[in-house]
Amino acid sequence: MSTAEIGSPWLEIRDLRVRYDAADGPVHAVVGVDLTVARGEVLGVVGESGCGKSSLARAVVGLLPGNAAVTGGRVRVGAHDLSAASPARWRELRRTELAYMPQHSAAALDPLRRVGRQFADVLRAANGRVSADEVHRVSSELLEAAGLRDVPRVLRAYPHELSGGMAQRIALCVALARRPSVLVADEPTSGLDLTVLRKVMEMLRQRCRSEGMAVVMVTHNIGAVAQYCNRVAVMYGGAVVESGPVSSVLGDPRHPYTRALLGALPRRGEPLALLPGVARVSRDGAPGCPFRHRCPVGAADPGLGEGCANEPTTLRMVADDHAVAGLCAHGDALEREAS
Amino acid sequence: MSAPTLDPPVAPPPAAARNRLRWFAENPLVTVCTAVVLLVLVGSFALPLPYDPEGVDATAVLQPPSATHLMGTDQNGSDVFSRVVAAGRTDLTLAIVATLVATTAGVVAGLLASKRNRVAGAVMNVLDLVQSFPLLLFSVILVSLAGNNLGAVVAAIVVIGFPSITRLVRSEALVVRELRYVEVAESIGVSSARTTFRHVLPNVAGVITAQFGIMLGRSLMIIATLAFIGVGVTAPTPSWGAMVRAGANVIGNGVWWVAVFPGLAVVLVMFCVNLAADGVQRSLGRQR
Amino acid sequence: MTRDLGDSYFTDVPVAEELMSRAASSLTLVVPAIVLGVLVGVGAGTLAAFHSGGRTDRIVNGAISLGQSVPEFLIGVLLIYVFFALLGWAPPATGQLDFTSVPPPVVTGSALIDGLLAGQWSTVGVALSHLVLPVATLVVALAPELAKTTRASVTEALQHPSVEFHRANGMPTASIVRSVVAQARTPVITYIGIIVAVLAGGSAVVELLFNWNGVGSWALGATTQLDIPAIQAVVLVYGGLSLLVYLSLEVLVTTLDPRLSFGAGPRLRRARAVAKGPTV
Repeated sequence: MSTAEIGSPWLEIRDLRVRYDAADGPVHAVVGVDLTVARGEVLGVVGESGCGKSSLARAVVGLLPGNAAVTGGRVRVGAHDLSAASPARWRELRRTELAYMPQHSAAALDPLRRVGRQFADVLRAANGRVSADEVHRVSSELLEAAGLRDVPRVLRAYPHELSGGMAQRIALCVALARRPSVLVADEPTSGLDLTVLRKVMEMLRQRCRSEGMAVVMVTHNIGAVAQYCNRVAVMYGGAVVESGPVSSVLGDPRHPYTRALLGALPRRGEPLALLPGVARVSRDGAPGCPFRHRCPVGAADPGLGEGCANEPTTLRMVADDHAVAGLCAHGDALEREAS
Repeated sequence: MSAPTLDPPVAPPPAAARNRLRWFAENPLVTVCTAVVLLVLVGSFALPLPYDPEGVDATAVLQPPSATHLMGTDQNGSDVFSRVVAAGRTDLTLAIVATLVATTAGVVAGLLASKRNRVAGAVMNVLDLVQSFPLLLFSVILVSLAGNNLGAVVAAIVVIGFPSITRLVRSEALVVRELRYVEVAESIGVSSARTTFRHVLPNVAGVITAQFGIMLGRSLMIIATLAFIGVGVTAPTPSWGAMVRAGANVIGNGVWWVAVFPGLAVVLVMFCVNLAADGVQRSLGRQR
Repeated sequence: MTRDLGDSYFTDVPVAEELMSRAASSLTLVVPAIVLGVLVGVGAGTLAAFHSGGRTDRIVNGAISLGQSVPEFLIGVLLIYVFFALLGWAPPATGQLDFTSVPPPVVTGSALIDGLLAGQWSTVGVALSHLVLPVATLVVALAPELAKTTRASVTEALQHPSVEFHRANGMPTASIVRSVVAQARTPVITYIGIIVAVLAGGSAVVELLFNWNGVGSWALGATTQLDIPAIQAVVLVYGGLSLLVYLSLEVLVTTLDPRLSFGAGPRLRRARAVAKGPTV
């Protein structure tokens, strides 16, 4: 694995589609997502609740719930194509290459096993026989890097003896112990106070630099994205509407949804700009811009509506590595207005 | 920088509580089962009895089911159908009365014990001790010592049943008491009794309903088992449990109808009561 | 005040002797019933939880609903009718042995054990055949509620976030199952403890129905006859047995689950409230 250099594409997602069979009919949670994460890179995936970002995260590690399935597209990690992986192969990959941190990971530790045992479990599952000293060395190193004090006591503790923030950081350390090359984390920052958040993110960045780990971080926290991610993907209605380097996307947003999202961030002295309407899920998986129902630009210029309903949601480069969904006529319209 | 988050839109509150009729329509199993139990209850009082349930007829002993005796006759020549119907009156009335008393006592005790203080804790420990005793023998002793009357049966069921209801209502009420609106009510000086009955009680009503059903089933089971043993409802008053016992003495000879028909009556009522209680519980689970 | 349990009003035999002479015959019935009932109940409940929503789950659920609705005595009566009266496979409900069989010299009071001790193999066979229906009755009576408790408990454990985290870490299926079982066991063990406590003094109804000369039917007879020394002894012995079982249960559960501390943690209390205990 270590042959690929830092910066080379490592995790590639092409036209990924996920469908849920809900009681009241199918829900297309992910409708053709393209993403690439390089070695050593941290990608932030943002969007409001229900935009499909958690489904995307789960699909990448093969942990979709029973009523959901990948209905199209490809996921590739290094040389491994995961599209046709058998359950056993998925297990093997998760044991070694892929790590996943579920939401609310403070509760993710096994309540009946001491922390030290849980490190031993994952290390032995990944590498076969591992000595107790080795387990102790690896786990202590990680826990110290995550800013936990009194590591020997932590290793002896049961999860219920730890605070939520501690348990969350320990779970992350457990996930990192086997040196995965890809980490997919769903809301890793929620519930952490700012100093701890900083510690955790710096540890992740350090891992990325030293071992070339690729990180996908699903989050609501745009502040954390701005501070700690290299690249960002904005999702709406199951599709990526804009992606690119953090400075470029957050500094010069092109898609109307990205603008609305950033406009909804609180700023001193300014009223909150709220986007009217609610996010909808796609029930038919039909093409067209998922944002067209709420698009402020579309509402202002009804003449554009036709194109938005029919254009497929492929990404188009607008600047260096900065892509926007479809032909987004709206973005262009805004551009023309500005100039 | 603080962490701005995009909150999900707030879902409208479940409308089920507002519209009882619609609730029954959405839970057909509960509706059907409740209807069957009510039908059995009404039937046991309204159905005409073709024979005197306590009548003895030496000329028609142990006759198999026929047009004259729908469910056959027992060792005394009594008509099993008439006895099954008449037994329903005694058994169901007794079960309902006992359940009402036990549930009321349990709910009041549970609400009182849901205030956090040492008396409440001590009361719960005593109730735990009561619950840990072998229940059947306990009730047999209670009923035997109290002179083998129906009041004693009700008392035994109440003593056996109310601790578990108390515990359940208490644990639910403790959860409700932690909720914001109860805290608010207390902070603006609403009296403790008013908080308990206006805010806590309605919110544990669903749990109480389910518990009422479970308790009804348990009561009927205890009544039938006691009667089978020969305690509580005793001959010649017909009761389902005692009829099965009488039938058990002849079933080895292939005479099945004396035991099976009253047995099926118990099973029918128990089955419907259990399904209804399960349905109510599941519907409560969905609302959460 | 004497230190023994007094003499029975009716037989003038010391109550302690009456109890001891019947203990073995009750246990011969109760021990296999608990073992089989636990196997069936826990097995079915676990299967249903792992196949939640599937056909196995629906069948187990249906069986639970039906099983909970049939009183213990009716199960016995129906079994006697089908397997003795109709099919003739099982012996009549004449207690531990047939009327015609030669009883072994009494050592423990259990025909099966005494037969084994005396080497009377034909008696052992008869005793075994007489065990089948009463044990089956108890198993059918015990299993549904136990299956329900197990199913609920395993379902809850399967939904714990740690299960997904184990999967995310690529842990082998066997160790995930082990983790689920470990998390689910507290309420199940508690419920089994309740069953043991209730049945430690024999099963009165089944002994009565099958004319089994055990502690339960004796206690029942003594109680209904208002044999006061016997009732006192029954209360004392049964109460003591229950306390003993509950104490061991508490020790066992607190050793198994680090989240509980001695003196009943919240989990155990909740489990006890949920598992309302068998009626009989």
